[in-house]
Amino acid sequence: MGFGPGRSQSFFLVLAAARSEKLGGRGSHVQIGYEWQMCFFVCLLISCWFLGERNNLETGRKRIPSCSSSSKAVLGEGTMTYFPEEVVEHIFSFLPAQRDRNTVSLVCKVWYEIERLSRRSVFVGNCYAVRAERVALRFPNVRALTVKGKPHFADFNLVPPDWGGYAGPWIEAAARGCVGLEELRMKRMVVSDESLELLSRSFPRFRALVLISCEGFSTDGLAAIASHCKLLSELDLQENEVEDRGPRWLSCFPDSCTSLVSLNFACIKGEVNAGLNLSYAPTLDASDLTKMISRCVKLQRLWVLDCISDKGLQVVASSCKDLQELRVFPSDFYVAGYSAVTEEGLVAISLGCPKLNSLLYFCHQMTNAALITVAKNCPNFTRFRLCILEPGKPDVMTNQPLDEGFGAIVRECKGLRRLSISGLLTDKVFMYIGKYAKQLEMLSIAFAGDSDKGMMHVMNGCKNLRKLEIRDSPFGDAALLGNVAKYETMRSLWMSSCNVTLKGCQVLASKMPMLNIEVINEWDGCNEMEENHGELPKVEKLYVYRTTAGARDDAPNFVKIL
Amino acid sequence: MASLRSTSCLASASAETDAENLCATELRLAPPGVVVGEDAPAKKPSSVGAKRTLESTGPSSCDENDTAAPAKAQVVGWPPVRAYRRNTFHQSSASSAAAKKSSDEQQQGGLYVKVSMDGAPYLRKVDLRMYKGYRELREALDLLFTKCFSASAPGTHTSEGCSDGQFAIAYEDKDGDLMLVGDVPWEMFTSSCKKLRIMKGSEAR
Repeated sequence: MGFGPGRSQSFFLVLAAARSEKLGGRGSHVQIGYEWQMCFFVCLLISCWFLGERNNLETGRKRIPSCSSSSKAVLGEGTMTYFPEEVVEHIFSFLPAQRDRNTVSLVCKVWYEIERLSRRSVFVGNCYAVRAERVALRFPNVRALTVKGKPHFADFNLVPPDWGGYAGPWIEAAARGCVGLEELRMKRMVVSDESLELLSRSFPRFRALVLISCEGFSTDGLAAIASHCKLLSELDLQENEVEDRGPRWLSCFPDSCTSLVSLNFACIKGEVNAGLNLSYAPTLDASDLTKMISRCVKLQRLWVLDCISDKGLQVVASSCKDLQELRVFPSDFYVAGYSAVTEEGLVAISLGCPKLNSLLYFCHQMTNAALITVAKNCPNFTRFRLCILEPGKPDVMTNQPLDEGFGAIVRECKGLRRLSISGLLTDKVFMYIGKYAKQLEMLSIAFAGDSDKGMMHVMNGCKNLRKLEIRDSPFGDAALLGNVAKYETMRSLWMSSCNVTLKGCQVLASKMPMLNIEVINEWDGCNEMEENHGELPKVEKLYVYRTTAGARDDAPNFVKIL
Repeated sequence: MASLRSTSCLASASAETDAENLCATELRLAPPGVVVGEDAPAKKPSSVGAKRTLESTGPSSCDENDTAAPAKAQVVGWPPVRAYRRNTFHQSSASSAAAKKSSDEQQQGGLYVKVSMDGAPYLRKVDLRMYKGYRELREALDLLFTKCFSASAPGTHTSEGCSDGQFAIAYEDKDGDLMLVGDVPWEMFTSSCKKLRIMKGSEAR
């Protein structure tokens, strides 16, 4: 990117500094008007770029796209003369979003350096997309690190054990390079007791540990954390597989421990005002439950079991007008079983809770009419996940596919970022999704679609798609290879029990070297992939993700990286 | 392993009794008298996905309830509920309809145990609920540890299987004691086994 030295940079920085003065301090002030600030910032970047280009035309100089060392000296001098690094850093502090900070670090080497040394929070959405050492080297002063490991479908036993996602390399790299680390958040990773021990000893200012859906550790590891992290204020363990070696670890918190503020290891989340999690309480009487909920008028987040029934949901709809997130979990996992909630409960909620933006709803039946009504009542959905327990079940009234219902959802909810679909669905629903779901970032598909066209609608239409996970759907090589450039813009693709063949995966691997194509064949053993059953063997599980780290070296023998 | 699909017990009139007897002795994963439904989870005739799930031998079994209604085959990883929630719920739920719930029905969670083999670079995990007896377990371990290791690490150990006397399979039980696999009834074994260990024959003696 060509920037005119000194002059245009200073133009930008002066304006930005003036703007930041108006905003005053950080925190909530930054939140309000953040979008305006970003527009402003982007406009400045563009105008500065143009200014720079105009300079080139006037002076006839050739602009070197990236700063070479000689021009850096000139640039550095120019910048330093006008703005000390501290000022630039201060301006960057108004850009909390990682995406924006990544953008400014591309401007020139000086800004790259300033940005990376002042970066406080790093989010790694896929632990195999980048090497841990590289992150630690680039951001030595990071205070909060978030790393995610296994693909989402690992939550449902679709990823074989020992697939990967080890926290060890991350904790080790941070221990070597980022001693100021204060917060660590990990999701779907394998964390060992040794790693927890290392964590507890390596970061003197460590204060917050959040582990969600992780495994591989025991209460001994927690004991280490409790014993050595003197400043621990938050310990949040959600839905982890922890080997219980007794309650001894609880007594490891020093008697003088006054810092612990938030302790969550019983899966009860949040305060009653903001959120209520009753999804582990199946024995609660339905009427008691609804009586209690009818009093929680300020409730914003509610997690319940379907024992609440449609009637209970009606009570919620009439009482909880501030409700933003609702999750209704199944109490009976059997496909042929029974549930007390139906499409009627969902419609009632949509009528009564206009602020609802996040939904996870398990039920045994649904209708297009209900979904269309819900879409009209709640156009503010950002997350909509509907799980009809019987795969491929049609509209229970009309026996039609649920294409129109979900079509209405994506059409009306313009801000939809996450969608999970279920029931009987044809390629048509994907046509709707590709056409309307322009903000969609994550899509989960199971037992849906008729042909490759379905998946291609999504790949071609959903501009902001980051994660696509598909199981048991008839998408094959044509769909996989229909838009290969798209994978570079996505975090990952998961396909299991589809029609993709090994050949298709190999073609993809040859076309896109910056992707890791993981073919996971769990039960066949490691060598049977080469044994041909006559026709092209189908790939059981496929995981594709972009990476700068190349093929990972910790893959088990049932994972083949093409 | 027995296919989860029901085999049709077609019989001509003359051979009816024979066929009945055949059906009665047929090996399938259902309580006696219940016909396991062949319906595919997805109603697409040529869906590969549907076929795959029926043949899937994942941790879920098709044993569901004891009612007369045909039990539909349970699909791996479906419904999409975290294992933690599944296990927690099934342990704490006292309001389950089936009073005759046997211990077999707690198969929702799967029973993964670590398997270590002396000299192997890393451990594996197996789901004990996948196997109906010791023979299947041995065969599975054979597959896991010889086919894979002999291919990737030539020369480190012989290519013989685990079941030929070269190795002994032991397990660690609830009390932490190391026991030889095969002495107790299978159900007792699966409920008490915490870890598996494949030891060199010389050590086992």
